[in-house]
Amino acid sequence: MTKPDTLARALATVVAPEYVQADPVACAPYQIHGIVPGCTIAPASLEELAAVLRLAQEHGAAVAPWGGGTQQLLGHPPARLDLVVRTERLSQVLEHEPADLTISVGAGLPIGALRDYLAPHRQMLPLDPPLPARATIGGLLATAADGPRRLGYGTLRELLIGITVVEAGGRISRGGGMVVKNVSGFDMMKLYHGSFGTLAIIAAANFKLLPLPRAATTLLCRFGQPGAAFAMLDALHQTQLTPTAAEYLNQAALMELGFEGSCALALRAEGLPAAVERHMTDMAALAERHSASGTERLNHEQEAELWLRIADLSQATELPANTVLVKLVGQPATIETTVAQVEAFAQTHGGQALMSARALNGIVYARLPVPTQPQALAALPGLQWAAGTAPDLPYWGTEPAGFTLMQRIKAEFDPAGQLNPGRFIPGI
Amino acid sequence: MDRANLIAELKRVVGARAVVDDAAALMTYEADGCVMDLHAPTLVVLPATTEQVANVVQLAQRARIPIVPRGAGTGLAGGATPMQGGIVIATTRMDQVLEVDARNRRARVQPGVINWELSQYLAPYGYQFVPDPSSQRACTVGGNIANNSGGPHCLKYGTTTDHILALRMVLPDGSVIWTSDGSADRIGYDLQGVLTGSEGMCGVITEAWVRLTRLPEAQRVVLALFPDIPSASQTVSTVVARGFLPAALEMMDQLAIKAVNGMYRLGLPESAGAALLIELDGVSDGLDDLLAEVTGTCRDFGAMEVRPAKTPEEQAQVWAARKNAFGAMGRLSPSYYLVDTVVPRTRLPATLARVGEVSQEFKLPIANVFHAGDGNLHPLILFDRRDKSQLERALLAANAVLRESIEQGGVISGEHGIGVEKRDYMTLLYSTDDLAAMAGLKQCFDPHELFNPGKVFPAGRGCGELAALRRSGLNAADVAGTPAGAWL
Ligand SMILES: Cc1cc2nc3c(=O)[nH]c(=O)nc-3n(C[C@H](O)[C@H](O)[C@H](O)COP(=O)(O)OP(=O)(O)OC[C@H]3O[C@@H](n4cnc5c(N)ncnc54)[C@H](O)[C@@H]3O)c2cc1C
Repeated sequence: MTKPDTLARALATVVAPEYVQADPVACAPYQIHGIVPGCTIAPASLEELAAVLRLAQEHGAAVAPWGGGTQQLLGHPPARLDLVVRTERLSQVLEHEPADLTISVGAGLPIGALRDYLAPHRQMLPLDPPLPARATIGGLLATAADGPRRLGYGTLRELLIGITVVEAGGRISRGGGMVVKNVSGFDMMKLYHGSFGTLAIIAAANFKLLPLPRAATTLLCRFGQPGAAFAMLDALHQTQLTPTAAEYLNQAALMELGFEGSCALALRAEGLPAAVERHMTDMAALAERHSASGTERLNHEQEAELWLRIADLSQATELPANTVLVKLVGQPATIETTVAQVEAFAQTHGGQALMSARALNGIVYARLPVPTQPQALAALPGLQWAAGTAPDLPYWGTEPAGFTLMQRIKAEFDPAGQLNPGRFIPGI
Repeated sequence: MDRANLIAELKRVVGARAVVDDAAALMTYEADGCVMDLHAPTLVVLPATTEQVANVVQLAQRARIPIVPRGAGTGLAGGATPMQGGIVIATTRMDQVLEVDARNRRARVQPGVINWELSQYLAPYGYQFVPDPSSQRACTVGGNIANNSGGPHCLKYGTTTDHILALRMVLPDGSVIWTSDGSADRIGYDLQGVLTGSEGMCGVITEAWVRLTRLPEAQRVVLALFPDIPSASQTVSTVVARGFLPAALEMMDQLAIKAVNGMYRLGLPESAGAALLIELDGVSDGLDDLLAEVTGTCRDFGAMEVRPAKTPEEQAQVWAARKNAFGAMGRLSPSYYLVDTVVPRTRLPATLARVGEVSQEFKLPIANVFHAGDGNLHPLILFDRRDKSQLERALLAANAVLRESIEQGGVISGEHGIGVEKRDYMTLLYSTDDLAAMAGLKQCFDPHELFNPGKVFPAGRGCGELAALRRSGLNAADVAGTPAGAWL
């Protein structure tokens, strides 16, 4: 364990002292699973970040990167935590050539701020994660976050074209570039995407952008039975329609959103006005054929608001007491069964599940009561992670395929185990 | 192990007919489509199963013999060239589509499946495997994955990496893994992400779950002819910036038009300085309006003629001309050097202007046939290999094009990879620390560097040395006297 004061004094030589804190009160907001770091720091530049990590290495300090703090409940409590490195001052738009549809931004930029920046250019980075006002680009990359529109646009994995990181020990390295197609060497972007801050701290990222769609409309289809909703999804999947989101919402999710009914599909189409119209007509007809109890076309304000709220259903920050958020994955065709199993699981444990499923991507987010034996959650099909404040959760699902390789990668990039120690899959 | 023993052992593993040891036959494997550097392998094996591949790799590992995976050998960067001899593992016999799971939009395939054949196989189901390199009638899915290949339709749908769900790999230690079960967002490091594009340096891909994409309901193809390259390039920028989201946006210059005209009887006016091939797709609703907007944009930027390809046959003919444009170069010159680089799209006019100057400077004709929508250039330097001076000038011209692309904020390969061809240019693009991170990653898979040695990393300082430098904790700045680019 590093002495906070010694570390803070050293850090104040590389970052303006007002951005270095070792006072427990000032550090308290950066606790992770109740563990308060000895120090926090907010470097203002790539070079400062590198200097911070160099000093952290010299002092043997365990480091946790911190963006907007929206996903810090993911993972085990840290094995050690000496220093929280905040990216909030690395939040500039570094380069944006509108006509190239590419952008380079600091990792600390909240995606909501990026959305606002791009709106006047009529461009977008089409990721719609929870809590956009707080969630930063770096945090979204590190946690491989997603949103309902991934059906149409993918995740940041597909949009990331370049990256700058600071490795443990302060080495700066870059991958990719500012072009939309690139095979010049290994794809380092893929390495850091989803690495949960265990290999390096992401300092900046480059993305390809898309023009804002000319039209966008949403259809909310209510069903009496999940079976009917999933049958419709299956039928939709076989058409040549290209909805950009198709979210299954269960009863609790609908209630949270202020709607009644036992389940629904929220379906979005974006693009040319005529193509969007066609989607609405065809999808409404499909819904009717699958005995939808009601089909409602939302106006522009309603739909924008609804999608923000749907995205927030999978936020892992302000979870109601004694609940846990799980992410389950499978194949599109297995999601119906997964959803049924989750409902049954919640009932067995005396509560209700709140579910939103990106069914055509094979992804389910469910908010559940914490079972008396939290490890029981591990039985849920395709569990990837369980996030919450309750102790002893199965934080990560089963050991992933290729785990030995992952351990080797961790040892290569962070040999001293300084970055987020103990938080990721056990053994990393 | 001596050669005779090795041959005997390998024959035991894969069968006598699946080991190539005859000197004349081995010559076929001396290089891929990049014939700058020829090296014969010691032996070639043609395994039929993952187990056989694993056994071959274990054998080679024990004997410390280098291994080079090979698909169809259409690579253009020397990726499949056995630089230090050793065993070439060719996937020719692993050519089965194992499973089509249309409901979940995925298929499980062996690596030796030919890209085109996969698409043909999938079409009746109403699906496609999107990556469509111009070499698709010959190249393999394994090669596409190893090179993260692109193709015209990758503009809208993403390159190979966006279409790979999971890989089965024989790792350099002979063990076999699936990188994932193919569902989205598996936790853990993204192994298939880093393995896609790793150019055969991290193991042999023996199976893959690939993503299937529904064939679009409707397509519109239009060929627009422009007086010159700048007007066509401006059209490209505008079409992209206005959000028309074309499925493909390809350009040919005057020399290329001349070449394909002869072969495909397209009757294109050879006075045209550039042609754009634009494809739009989606549901049919609104597509004709969009087509009208696109053709309008072409006219606004001075298109002399805009020809929509009305029937599927006409569309196929236009596409055939584009995809076989490289082959058509044979009509103009005995050999060509295809340089693959990318620049930001707004830099296309400036870069192409410089390519024109390079052609003048080195007195070699250069044709351009390329993925304009991505900013992915393909200058084809025409020369005669038998003429030593022409060969030298071709190499110098390629060097000038690569440097210009970097100068314009671009990179040195958009889809063909680095291989041997461009390994010494890597230092122009990346710092020592950038390269050392890549080297460290490669060594996690292949610590003894037996897989495809001599590729991607600069010749003067290979992968092992870079990785060691990194582990010693030194930074580039600490290594006095080695400025970036010093190894070129
Ligand atoms: C006329 C022509 C047009 C082309 N057009 C395009 C184009 O439009 N877009 C594009 O991207 N490329 C293009 N190429 C380049 C080339 O066709 C692609 O790179 C193709 O994907 C290579 O496939 P292959 O089967 O021939 O692989 P090979 O050339 O045999 O090998 C390529 C690389 O992959 C590795 N490899 C092969 N199989 C495996 C495996 N199973 N496991 C691990 N590693 C493996 C090899 O070691 C090598 O490094 C073109 C080439 C030609 C000749």
